Amino acid sequence: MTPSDSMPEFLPPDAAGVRSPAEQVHGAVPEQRPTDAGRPDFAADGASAWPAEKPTEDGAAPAASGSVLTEERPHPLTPIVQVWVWLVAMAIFFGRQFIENRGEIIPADLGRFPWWLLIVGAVGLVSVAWNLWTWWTTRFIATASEFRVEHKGVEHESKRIAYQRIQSVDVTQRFAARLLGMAEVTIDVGGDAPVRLQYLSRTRAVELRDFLMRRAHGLTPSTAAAAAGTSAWDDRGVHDRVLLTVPAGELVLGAALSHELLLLVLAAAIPLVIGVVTATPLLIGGGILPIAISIASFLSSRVLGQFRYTLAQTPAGLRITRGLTSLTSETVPVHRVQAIRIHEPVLWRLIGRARVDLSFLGLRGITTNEDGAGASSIMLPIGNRQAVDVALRALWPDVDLDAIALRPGPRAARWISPLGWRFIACGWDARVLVVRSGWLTRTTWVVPHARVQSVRTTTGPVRRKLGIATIEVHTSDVFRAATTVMAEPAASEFAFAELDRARQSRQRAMPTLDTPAEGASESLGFSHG
Amino acid sequence: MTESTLDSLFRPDNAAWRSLSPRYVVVKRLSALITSLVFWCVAAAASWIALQLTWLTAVIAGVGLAWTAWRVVRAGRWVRSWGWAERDSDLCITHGLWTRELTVIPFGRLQMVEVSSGPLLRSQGLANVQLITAAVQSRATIPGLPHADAVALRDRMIELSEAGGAGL
Repeated sequence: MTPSDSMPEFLPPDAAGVRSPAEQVHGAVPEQRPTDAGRPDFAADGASAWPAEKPTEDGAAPAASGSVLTEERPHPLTPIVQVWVWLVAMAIFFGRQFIENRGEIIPADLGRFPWWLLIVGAVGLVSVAWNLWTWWTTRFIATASEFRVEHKGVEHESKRIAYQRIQSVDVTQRFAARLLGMAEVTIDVGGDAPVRLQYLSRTRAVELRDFLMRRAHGLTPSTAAAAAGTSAWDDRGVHDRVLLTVPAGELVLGAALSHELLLLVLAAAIPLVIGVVTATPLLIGGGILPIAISIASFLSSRVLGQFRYTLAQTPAGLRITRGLTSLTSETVPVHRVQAIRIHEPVLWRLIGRARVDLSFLGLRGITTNEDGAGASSIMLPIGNRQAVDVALRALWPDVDLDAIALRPGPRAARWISPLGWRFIACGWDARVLVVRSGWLTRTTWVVPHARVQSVRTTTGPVRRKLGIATIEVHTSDVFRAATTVMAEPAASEFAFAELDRARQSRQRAMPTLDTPAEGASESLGFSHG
Repeated sequence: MTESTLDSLFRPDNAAWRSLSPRYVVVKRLSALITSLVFWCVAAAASWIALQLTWLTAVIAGVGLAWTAWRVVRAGRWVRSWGWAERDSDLCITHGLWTRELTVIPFGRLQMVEVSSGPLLRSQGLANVQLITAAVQSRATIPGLPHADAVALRDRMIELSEAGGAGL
């Protein structure tokens, strides 16, 4: 049974919001298809995309949902794609083996060859069947009030997502899936694990993403700006303004001066030194080769993962697109950003570079994997001062870090932090609090007052003798609170003063995307490096 | 640093500070007694079985007794070091003898308020109140409140958090 000849039965009973079988099969063609009039319910132009009200006659639709906008399964090629992803991984693995030991993998007598092939074929068939069953029992449903993903396989499961709770939506095209024009949609809902939809055709994934993001902003489709199609190479709509691109040279520079590489080089130096001292060439070769390989793979995965890093302003939020082999496209609603961190590792400070991380509500912030595909919390992998300013202005146009006077920490702090005490600083204006600390990696937190969750002042026996106290400003960031050190008279006022500022700031509305960033316009097309 | 400036830092005068129930000292003493006695008895027994050195076992038992006595004596001061206050729009919690801590949480930021009590606390009619915000680090607890007070505090906090709530 192949998906294509059984398509008609697979269709849900209500035709509203479901593409015709021919088109679903068609969707597998990797080229970008124009959004044509043949799909009125998904056309990418604003007015007709994902109709606001399209009542369905389907009696089976759950009662709680209101009117169902669409109900459909992931792309019918999903089972094949999942096996294909596995096959590509196998091909890469065996291809590498083949290159390394030339020809040894092909058996001398071909009589044994089909036997080996049979097992692979059987495993492949079983996984296709299992994936087919999973695909057949999975559907996603968009209604006027919520988005649902339902599995009715061995276990029945229904995930409901209220549109207002959507934190961000990512479209990930992993390498193998990308070759077939397929993409994965990840919906982040804050505290819970993200919901993944595997796989949709690339165009469909982008349409779904745009729809969900508009709903997350509470916009109706008719007021939404038009989304343009996407391609295998980027994910850029007509209304998107590219704010920043990070050239590959910068990525290489950043990786070369990173702490990770420094550690790898140190690890390589140890066997080298021992080998030279004891004059054992074997140790030099055997010790250095694996580390040289891991250095190479570290550099390549870092550069491949962040390749063509693009920060763009779109009607649905900031969009980050990156990756050479796997293309990841993250869309971040600006009003969901809780705080940012600017990291300056010690070596990067020499060349004036910094990294910008975003902090969100929920588990999403935990991923800081710089190399892999999928969601991460990185806003700017590496950039100079201007690039950081552009990124910051895209988020909060009225925040000017230079205008905020930072007060240095007390001199007494050198006894508890001999290297980093010079960098301890804290300052604020009407909108944000800026806290800086750290020596090996100097971290600057920029927290809008309105996002402050709580403030804690601590002191211990030593700090009490020095007359200083530690202040933690808690945001929903799971890693570390913004921490600074203050002399005691200032510290005692700070906690209450900060909470007063937070309250005043909360009373003023946070800017939303409906009032787009003014200051960001002059940085259109900015590219540094 | 004099004691008075410290007081003003970690127990500012701009709020009406309230303390924990005096009965919580009993709970704290009992739990200190039980946990340290169990720990030091196991340690002493293990050292005797493994090494059969009388002097070592005696040292362990002595240290254990001293430690337990210290904790039992100190429990009173530790409980008295706790204080909590409701201000116009935030809740302040302070505690600690060596390491002093003051946490300020706006009512509008409270996501959840939990009241819990184990068997020891229940025997004294006490409960803990845990305040949870969206920040992992700001998780704060007021231990050892009379059960009725704890429930009342929880209900008041929920009410105030709804009134002052500002979303995330």
